[in-house]
Amino acid sequence: MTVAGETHRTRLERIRDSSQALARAVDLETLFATLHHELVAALQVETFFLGLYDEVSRTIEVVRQADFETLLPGGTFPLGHGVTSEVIRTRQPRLIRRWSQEAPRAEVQYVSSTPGLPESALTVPLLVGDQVLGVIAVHKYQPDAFGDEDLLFLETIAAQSAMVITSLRRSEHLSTQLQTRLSELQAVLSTMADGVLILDASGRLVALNRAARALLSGGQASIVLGQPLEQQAWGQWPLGARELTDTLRPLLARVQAGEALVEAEVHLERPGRRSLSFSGTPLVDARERVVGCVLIVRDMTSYHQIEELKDEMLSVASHDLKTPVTVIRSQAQLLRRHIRAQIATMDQVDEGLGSIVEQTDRLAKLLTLLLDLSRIEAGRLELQRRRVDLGLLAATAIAEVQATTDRHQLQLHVVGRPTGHWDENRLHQVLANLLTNAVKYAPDGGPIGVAIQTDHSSVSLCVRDHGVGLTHEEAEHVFDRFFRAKAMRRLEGTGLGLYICRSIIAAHGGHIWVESGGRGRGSAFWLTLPRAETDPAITAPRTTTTTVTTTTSGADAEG
Amino acid sequence: MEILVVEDEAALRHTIRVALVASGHRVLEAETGRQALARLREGRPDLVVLDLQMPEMSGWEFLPRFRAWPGCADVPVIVTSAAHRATLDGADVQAFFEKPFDLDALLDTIDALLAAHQPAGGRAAAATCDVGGGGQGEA
Repeated sequence: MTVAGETHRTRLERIRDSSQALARAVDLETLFATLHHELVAALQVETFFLGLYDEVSRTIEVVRQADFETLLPGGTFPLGHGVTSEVIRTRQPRLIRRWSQEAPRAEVQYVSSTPGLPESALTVPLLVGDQVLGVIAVHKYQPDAFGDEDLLFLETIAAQSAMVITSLRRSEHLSTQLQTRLSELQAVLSTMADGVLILDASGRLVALNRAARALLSGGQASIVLGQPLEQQAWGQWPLGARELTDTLRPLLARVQAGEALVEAEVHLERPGRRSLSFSGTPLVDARERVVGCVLIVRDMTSYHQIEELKDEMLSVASHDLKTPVTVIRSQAQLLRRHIRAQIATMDQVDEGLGSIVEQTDRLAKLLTLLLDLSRIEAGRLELQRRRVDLGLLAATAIAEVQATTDRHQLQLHVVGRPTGHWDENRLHQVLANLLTNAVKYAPDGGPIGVAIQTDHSSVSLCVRDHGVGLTHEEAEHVFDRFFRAKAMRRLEGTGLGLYICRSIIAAHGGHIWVESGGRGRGSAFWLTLPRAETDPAITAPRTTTTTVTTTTSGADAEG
Repeated sequence: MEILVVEDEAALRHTIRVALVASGHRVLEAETGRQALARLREGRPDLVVLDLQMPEMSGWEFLPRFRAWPGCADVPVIVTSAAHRATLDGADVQAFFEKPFDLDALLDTIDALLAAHQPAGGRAAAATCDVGGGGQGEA
């Protein structure tokens, strides 16, 4: 029985039902199953296949085929000269009444339960506009089984199927895009330094990134997905569990209530000081309902340490600046009192004014120190480079420092011509600082040696004293900002100078370090400076360097 | 009168000493809170001028020890500091001068506190004379 034998109404109903059934297909599998079912019912087809054409590779992929009730897997064959290929090429349907007489011989690519080959065939293209998506082919073993009306019916079904395939492909494409975006997002989340926690509407932990795990559990696997935060194994969390709960509970409650952005900070003391900031944002769906929340965790520890250091620095600076101002003011007032009362002696006036001058110098030095410090902190330590002879510079600095002491003998030993393109004033500052320190930390006096060595690309300088020396720990931190200042709460003579020295040498691209055999064994401050390329001395062969030894003794400097 | 000046800045200590000596006082000097405690063994001062930020033992640490020292509970103490007054937090101090201070006002306050303290020997008397700081001295 064929479509032709049915009533007009029955045929239309069948087309409607088939169309509706096909529209419900969610993937190619269900589309094939539906087609099979509908085609067997309407046309009593005996074999059937759905083939998709790939224009790029010019191949036809048989999604699936059916032989009576047996469903068989498909296969792939290249576009050739058979009936299927012809339909794809011409985009015209083909009705074959007697295959053995009308069409090229076809091979069945599976083991059929029926002997021989089908004689009747309908092959129709799956068309979307001009594009051929593939074919639907139905067969019967007996000849003359299909008519023109059957072809029209199959064409209708094919048009519907083509639309379904197009829409399936579109959603598949979207889902691939979605997958790509999702994996990108995953990559971002897993590499970002901030911790991210995602909670659902009831407060259960849905997801967290690596940083969140590291920040909250120290990388331990004690955080369990699917559990609310307050039921997590807090006790296993190495950082103050109670502080965390106490902070997070009200924060989460406010976020769940829909508050746009809630922030809180936890300061943990053990183990080690740690500051964590949390900011929660509600996740809302299209209908503005809160379906969960995103919690960002950030480690604020080093930020707070820097802030604390800055506060401390400000308080130390204000104290240190007020001290000389206080001396100047009270000294001036004292002088005025005594002059008005006519009890001031010339000696007293001289001494008082001397003290005022001295304190003004001290104030100016402090201001320079602070200015340098703020320049370094802001990364704006600019160098005025020009050709400098480090040997001459050292001799000048040595003479200046020697003038302040009788007990120390400052000696200079120079090998080669230590020239380079450097900032003369800044290097003088470094040398003065190192020499003053050497004098200060060798209170019993003695020799202080300055040795300069020159080679092809760099110059090194060493200031060696026989003073109190440094412990191993001190030697390690002596160039740190506030190394001593922290303990003494003073800017002057507290290692801030060495911090500035290090910054100056670093700005030149050089290094500075200290060696000491321990307490009481003196210390040696070393620095190296690269010589700038523009310096012609660099290209001079080493054999031309001469050894110059300059010795400046205490007596010489004073005379 | 004998005045103990506790101040780690030598130049300032010297200035205060010269000013006090010119006013007819005797001056004991100490660089730190610890040195000041050692000087108490030599006798009870009539007044203390005290700095706060000092090495070894700060003014904050010195104050309770001083008050607990025999006979020193009622000795007037004038604090001079770059730190804020609030850091004293209700300590038993008769006047506070923020650095840089007015030397004339400091000397006036010293005289007023000594005068008030001397005859009556009571704290109430000292408190009434506590306003001579030219705006800087505070009760």
